[in-house]
Amino acid sequence: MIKINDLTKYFDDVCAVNHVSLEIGDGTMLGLLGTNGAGKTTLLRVLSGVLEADGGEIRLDGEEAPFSPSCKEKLFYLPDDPYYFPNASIRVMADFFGKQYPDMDAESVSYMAESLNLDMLQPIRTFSKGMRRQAFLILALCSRTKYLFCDEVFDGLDPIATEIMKNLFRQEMKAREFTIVVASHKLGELEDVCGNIAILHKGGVVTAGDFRAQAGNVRKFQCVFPLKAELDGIRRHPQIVRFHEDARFITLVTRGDADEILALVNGQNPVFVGEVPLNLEEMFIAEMEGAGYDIRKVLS
Amino acid sequence: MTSEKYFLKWVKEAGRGHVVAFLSWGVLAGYALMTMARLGLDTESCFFGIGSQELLWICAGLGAAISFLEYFYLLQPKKLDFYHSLPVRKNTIFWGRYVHGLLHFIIPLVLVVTACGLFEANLDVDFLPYSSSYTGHGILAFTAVFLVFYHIGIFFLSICGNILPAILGYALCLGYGHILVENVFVTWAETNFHAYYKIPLLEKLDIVLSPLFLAGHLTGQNLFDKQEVLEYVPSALHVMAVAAWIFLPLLLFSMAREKRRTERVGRMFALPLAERVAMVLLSFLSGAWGGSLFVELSGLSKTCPVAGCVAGALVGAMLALAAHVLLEWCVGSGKKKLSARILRRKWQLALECAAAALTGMFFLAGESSFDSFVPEWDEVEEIGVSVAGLDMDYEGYMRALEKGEQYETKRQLDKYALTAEGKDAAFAWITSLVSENGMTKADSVEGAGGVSKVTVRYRMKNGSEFYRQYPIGEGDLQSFASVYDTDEYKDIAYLAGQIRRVSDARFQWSDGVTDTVLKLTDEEKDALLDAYGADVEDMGMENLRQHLPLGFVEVTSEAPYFSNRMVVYPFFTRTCGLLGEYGVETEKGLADYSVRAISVADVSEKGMARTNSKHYEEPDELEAWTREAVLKEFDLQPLLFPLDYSREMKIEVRDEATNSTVYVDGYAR
Repeated sequence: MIKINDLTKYFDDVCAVNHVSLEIGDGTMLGLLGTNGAGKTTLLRVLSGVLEADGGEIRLDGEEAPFSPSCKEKLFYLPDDPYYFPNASIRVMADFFGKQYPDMDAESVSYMAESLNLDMLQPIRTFSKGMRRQAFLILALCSRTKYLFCDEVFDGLDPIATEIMKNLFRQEMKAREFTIVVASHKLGELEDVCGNIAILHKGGVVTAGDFRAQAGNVRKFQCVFPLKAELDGIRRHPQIVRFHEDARFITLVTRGDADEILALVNGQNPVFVGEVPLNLEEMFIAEMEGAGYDIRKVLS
Repeated sequence: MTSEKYFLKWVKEAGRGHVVAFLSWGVLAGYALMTMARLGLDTESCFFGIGSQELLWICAGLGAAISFLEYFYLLQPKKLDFYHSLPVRKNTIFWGRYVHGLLHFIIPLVLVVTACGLFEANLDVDFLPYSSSYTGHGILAFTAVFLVFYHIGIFFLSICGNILPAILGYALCLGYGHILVENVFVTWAETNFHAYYKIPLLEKLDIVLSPLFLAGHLTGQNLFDKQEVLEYVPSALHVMAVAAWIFLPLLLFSMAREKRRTERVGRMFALPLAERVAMVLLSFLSGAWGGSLFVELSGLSKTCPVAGCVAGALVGAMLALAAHVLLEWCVGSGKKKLSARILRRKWQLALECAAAALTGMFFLAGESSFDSFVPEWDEVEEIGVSVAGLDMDYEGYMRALEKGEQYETKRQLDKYALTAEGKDAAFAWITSLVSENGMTKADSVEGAGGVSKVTVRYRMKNGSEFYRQYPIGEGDLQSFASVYDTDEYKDIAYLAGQIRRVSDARFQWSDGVTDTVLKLTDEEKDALLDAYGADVEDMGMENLRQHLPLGFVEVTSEAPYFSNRMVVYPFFTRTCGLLGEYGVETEKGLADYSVRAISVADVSEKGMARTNSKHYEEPDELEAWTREAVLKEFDLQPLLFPLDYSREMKIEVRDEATNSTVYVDGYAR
C-alpha cells in the first residue's frame, strides 16, 4: 500500500505538488488526471524517488525509508519519454533491468515482444514512438515490481496496442497484487481500466476515489419536448447537474432524488423520456461540479 | 548482494559504451609510442615524466574530458530520471563513476610511465640511478595533475544545471586566479606604487591560484637541464597548493552532490548557493578588472593618482553592477521582472560593487608605506642590487629599462647579492635614495630627469623577500661608487677572488678580434691572478668612465669544469705588465689589424631596425671608421661610458697570422 501524507513539492516559488494526501491500495490502479502543469508528472517523480519532496511523507508498505534500494526494488517508474542506452535493444535493456530488479522475468519479455511483433535485437532508437512505448511497457510489466508508476501511459499507442496493454495490465493485476499509478490528461484512456481516479489541479488533489461508486445517485435522462414546453424551471432546478438542449432534444444529468425532476419533466408533457447509462466523464464532471469546481477550468 | 559487489557492479556499469576507456588508454598509449620513439633518438632533452610538457597537457586534458564524460548524466533530465528511479543509491552511481574514471586513468598512466622508464633505463646509463625515483615521482605528480582537473570538472558538473555554464565555469576557474592577480592586483600595484618592481606574494598567488601554472611547477615544466629534471622535487608550497586543489573541490562536490536539486537541471546552476557565489565572484572580478583596466588605459593615475583611483573605483562599481544585472538576467527564472530580480539580493549587489571599488582604494591607501619601505637593517640577510646599464651591454641595458623586465634584472640581482660590507654600503645608499627620491616612478626615468633605475631585492632573515625599484639621477649614480668600490661588489663583478686555481686551467688572451693561448706555468698563472686581484682592489667606479677594456683573459678548465672571463682595463697596470711579460700585446687593438671593409648602419631609437647601411672599403675611409669603432664586446658600461649606439658596424678584419677573415661587430665611439 502507498500512503501519501501532506506531500508538497516546490519549484522555486511554484508549488507543483500542494499538500497531496492519497492512499493507494494494493492491487488497484489509480489514474492521475489533470491538465498540463497540474502536477501529475512531479507527483510520480517524487513517488519514484527522482525528486525529493519539500514536505510530507510517503510510505511504501509502511516503510519509513521508501527510497532505500531494497524498497525501490518494489517500484518501477516509466516516464513519458524513457531513457535507453545508445544502440540498446530490448534484450540489452532487459538484461540491464534484470540486474536491477531481482524478479525480472526475461522469458516473459521475449514472449510479449513476440506477441506485439517487436524485434528483441533491433536497436530501440529505430522504433517508432508507439513501438518504444510498447517495449518499455513490456519491460515495466516484466520487471515484476509491486508498484508501477507510469506517465502518459498509453500515449502514442494505436487503439489495438492500447487494448492489448490494458489487458496485460488487467491480467497482471489479477495474477498478483500489482498496483499501478498512471498519469494522463485524457480521461477516456483511463475510463475502462482505472477503478480510482485522482483529479489534480494546480498541484492539489481536487477529488479522488471510485467515481462509479460515488456517482450512484447521479442519473442521466434523454427527453424530447413539444415546441411550446416551458423548460426554464427544469433548467434552473438545483438538482440538475447538466442541462444540454439541442432544439427540443434535451439531455439531463441529475443528482439526488430523480423523482422530483421526473415529475417536473412529465409536467411539460414530453414526447419521450428515457434513462441512459453515464460514462466516466459524466460521472467525473458531476462529481467535480458537485464539489464546487468549474470543470471547464480544471480540464480545459 | 554485499555492498562491495554492489558498488563494483556500478563501477562496471559506468563503463557502458567504453568511451572513457578508449579515450584514456588510446591517448596514453599514443603518448608512450611517441615518447619511446623520441627517447630512442634523444635521452638528453626528451623526458617522459617530470619535465614532459606533452604529458602535462594529456593529464590535464584527460582530467577535464573524463570528468565531463563520467558526470554529464547530471545535466541530462532523462538519464537522471532513469538512474535515480532504479533501486540503487544516488551515491553509488556517483562514486561508481568517480572510481571508474580514476581507474581508467591511473592504470594506463602507471603502465605507460613504467614502460618508458624501463625503456630509457635500457638506453641511458646516466638515467639508471634515477629510474625508480624519477618514474615514481612522475606517476605521483601526473596523477595529482589529473586529480586537480578531474575534481574541478566534477565540481562544476555538480553545481551547474547546464553544459554551457559548466564549461564556462571550468574555463573561468582555470583563469580566475591569474586574471585577479595579474590584471587586477598587479595592475593596481603598478599604478599606485612608484617603487613597484614585483611582489613575491602576488607571484606565489598567481601560481597557486592557477591550476595550469601550478601543475607546470609541480611537474617541472620550468626545467630544461637533464640533471635538474631527474633530481627535481617540487616545493612544499606547490605540493600543499596542489593538495588544496585536489581536496577542496572533492569536499565541495561531495557536499554539492547531497544538496543538488534534480529539478534545477536545465537552469544555469543546480544549487542556489552556487548561483549566489558565482554571481559574487564574477561581478567582483568584472568590476575590479574593468576598474584597473580603465586606470591603466586612461593614464589618469600618472597625472593625479587619487583622481585615477577614484575614477577606477567608480568604473569598477558600475561594471560590477552591470555584471550583476547581466547574471541576474541569465539565471532568472523568467517569472519575475528583471528590475525585481536585480533588487532581490541588494546587499549582495552592494557588497560586489563595494569590493570592486575598494580594491583600487586599498592599493592607493598602501602607496606611501610601500614606496617609503626600507626594512630594519638587522633583519636583512642579503641585498641584491641591479643598476640598469652597469656591468651589462647596451642591449641588456635597454631590456633592463623596459617596464616589468625580469630576465636581465633578475640575473643581476642574483649575481650582486651582497651579504657583507657591500650589503652595509648598499643599505646606506638605498636609505638615502629613498629619503631623497620622493615619489617618482622608476618607469619614467627620463621624464624625471634621471639617468637609470636601480632594482633592489631585500632577502630577509626569515626567508621573505621584498623588491623595490627606484629611478636614479647622476648624483645617485656617483654616490653608488660607495657600493661599487667595496671589495665584495668588485669581487662579484670581476670574479677576482673566485677563479679557482687548478693546474690544468687554460688561459687565453682575447683582444676582441683574435684569441691567443697563453702557455703559463702554475706559478705564472698564480702571479697573474694575484696581479689581477690587486688591480681590481685598487680600481674605482670612476675609472670606468674614462676607459674601455683592452681585452679579456679567458680561464677555462675541463675537470672540474669552469669558464671565467677576466676583463682587463688599461689601468690594470700590474696585470698588463705581467701579460706583456708573457708575450701578450695588450695595447693591440682593432687599428693594428688589417681592416678590409666596414659596413655602417643606422639603428632606430629602440634598436629594432637597421637602415641606411653603407659599405666602406677605401683606405682613408677605413682608417677614419676604424679610429671611431669600438668592439661590441668591450661595451660593458653603457651607463658610465656610453657609445654612439645609433650606428652599428660590421668590420671585416684580415688575420695575417692565420691567413683568415674575421668579422666583428662594433659601435661608433
